[in-house]
Amino acid sequence: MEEISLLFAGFKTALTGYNVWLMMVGITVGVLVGVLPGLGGPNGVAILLPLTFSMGQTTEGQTSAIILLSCIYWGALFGGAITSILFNIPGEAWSVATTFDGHPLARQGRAGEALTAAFTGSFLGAFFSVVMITFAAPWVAKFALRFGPPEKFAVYLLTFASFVGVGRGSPVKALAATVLGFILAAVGMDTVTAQLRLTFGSTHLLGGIDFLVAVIGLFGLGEIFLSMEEGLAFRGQAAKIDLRVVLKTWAKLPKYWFTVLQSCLVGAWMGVKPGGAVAASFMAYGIAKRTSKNPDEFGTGRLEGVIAPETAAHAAGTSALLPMMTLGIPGSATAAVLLGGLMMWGLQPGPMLFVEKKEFVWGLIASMYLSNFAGLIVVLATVPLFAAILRVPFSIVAPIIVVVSAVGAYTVHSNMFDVWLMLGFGVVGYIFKKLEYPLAPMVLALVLGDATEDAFRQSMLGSRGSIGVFWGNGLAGTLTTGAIVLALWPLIGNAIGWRKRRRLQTSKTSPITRA
Amino acid sequence: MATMDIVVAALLIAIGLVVAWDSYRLGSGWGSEGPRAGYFPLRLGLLLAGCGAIILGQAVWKRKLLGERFVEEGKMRPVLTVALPTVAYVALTAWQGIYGASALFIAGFMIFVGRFPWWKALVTALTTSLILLWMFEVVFQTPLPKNAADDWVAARVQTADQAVRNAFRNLFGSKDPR
Repeated sequence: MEEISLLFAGFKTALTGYNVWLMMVGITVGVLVGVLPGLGGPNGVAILLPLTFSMGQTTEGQTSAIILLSCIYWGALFGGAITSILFNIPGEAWSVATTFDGHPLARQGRAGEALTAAFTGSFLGAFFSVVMITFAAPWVAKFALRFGPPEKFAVYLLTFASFVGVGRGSPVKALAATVLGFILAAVGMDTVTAQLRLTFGSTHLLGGIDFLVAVIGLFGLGEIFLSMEEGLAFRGQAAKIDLRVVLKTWAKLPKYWFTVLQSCLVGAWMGVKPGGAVAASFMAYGIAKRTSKNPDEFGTGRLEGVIAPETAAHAAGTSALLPMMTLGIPGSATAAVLLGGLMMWGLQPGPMLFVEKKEFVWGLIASMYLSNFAGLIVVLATVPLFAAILRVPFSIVAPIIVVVSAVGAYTVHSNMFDVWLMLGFGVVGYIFKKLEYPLAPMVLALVLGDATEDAFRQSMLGSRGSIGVFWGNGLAGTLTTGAIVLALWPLIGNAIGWRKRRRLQTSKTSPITRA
Repeated sequence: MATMDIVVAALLIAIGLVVAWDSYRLGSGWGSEGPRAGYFPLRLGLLLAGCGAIILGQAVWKRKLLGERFVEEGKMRPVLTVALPTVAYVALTAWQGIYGASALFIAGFMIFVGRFPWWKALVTALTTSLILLWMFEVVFQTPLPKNAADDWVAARVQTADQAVRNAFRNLFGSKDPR
């Protein structure tokens, strides 16, 4: 039980007055970011990252900085539920499933109950995943210490393959978005030969394209353009939460222990894989519906219908940090931005972190226990405030978000060119969202591009150019083969589906639905 | 939708080919130091072009089945009402600094899109810009692009901030409120 003593040391690191204050600030900012359209986990963290550059000089500062940024992430996870339940507008993709039963509950005047159930479920889901991380992370990290370049590349390949293979949309578009991310990451000076790549003589592109600028543009501006088109007019339900409602709802919760448990398992499992939170929330909702005694009542305002997706989304969002810390592979777009932050502070995410930066890792894990508890209290207390903020007209919110995004892009390198770049990425983000190109794998590729290429080149160097190195030993071979099967999965699935369809001989075309 | 799909797919093909060509020019084979700088990007470029071709094919096929448009009629306007001012805003920021540009952008948006009375817009815009200036020039010490007038304001805000801090110090002992 070495983990327990390490965890307690972590609590000592995390539990300073300054860090607790940062937690509160982070959670509040995070909820705000999760609630407002056009801001979300990834770009909320991206905008604030440059402000932590000066904090990242010492180990203590790095721990404080990651606490602040991860709390924004937790806050955004909590915040998504508020808009879903009160306004029927999912603030984040993973809270879409929460609207199904959350909004009907709010319209019946039971918004307080729905919100309490959602937040408590979120808390339980996160708690489950943190416990899982506490015990699994050291073990995974120890295992990953054996990884050489070929294994590393195989793991990266597996990550991207899972986006292509098991994503919700078109696999070709997912692949195109991923490759585009890699290409953007390659712009600038080559790390091995110091040659300039893809700069086309532009001095602005010498330093490459910063993923923070891309994230702010893709997620922030793109979302604003999209919201404008949809003509956002918030008409929400009133939210009243007092201690009585909270206690009354908590008294009901033990009845749903099974829903909570299965959602925790679904979330923790799906979250480890990239892009998990969204899929996990839908899956947990579906499972809860199927295992319920009266599935027909789902969608009319069942409390389980709120608990299941929220618990799973939060469990998945939390367990997404497991591969980020142990393997250096983020499980979500926000985790990718956090990972980029670690790199900027000079930390090398991956198994060595557990050896060299014990204090940092366990401080972060301990802070996850504390901040999710703090988060639960903060959100329960501040729901009316955020509901009021949502009533601020979009014509005030939209320009302010544009301004905040511009400031965020500028502060990355104090460079005006980055602001123009952000504008370009905003247009790309809008078009990609409309055409259903997934943005998360693109951001992931942008963050991991250099590391992936390095792993590839080192492997090839070791084998003198033979691609066989990726099957050189059992571990690498299994991972590589797994990645290829996963990437080709849509093709395999298509072939099966095509044969079935040919047997049915139907010529009807299905209407194209927008997720 | 299908038309836009085709345009974007064609762009992807173009980008892929340009990347591949530039990488080939750089050297994409095997050098003394292993795979050369263009090795990885060349393959990425070709892969992107390939993806673009497939998407293009699918989109052409889809358009044959059902004709759709990217942005439904009448919705192009709202997108442009935020996109065009944003371009103007960035241009103005590059020229005259971010604070004035932000105030103008917020006020203009509130008046022309939100139909707010001009004084409400003005108060909101100036307050936001002032808070921004205080946060970045004084608290975080991370200067943003600004012009001479902003410098003047920043100096005044700095003085005011210091005065408030001193007052706090006198009231509550030696502790800085931050």
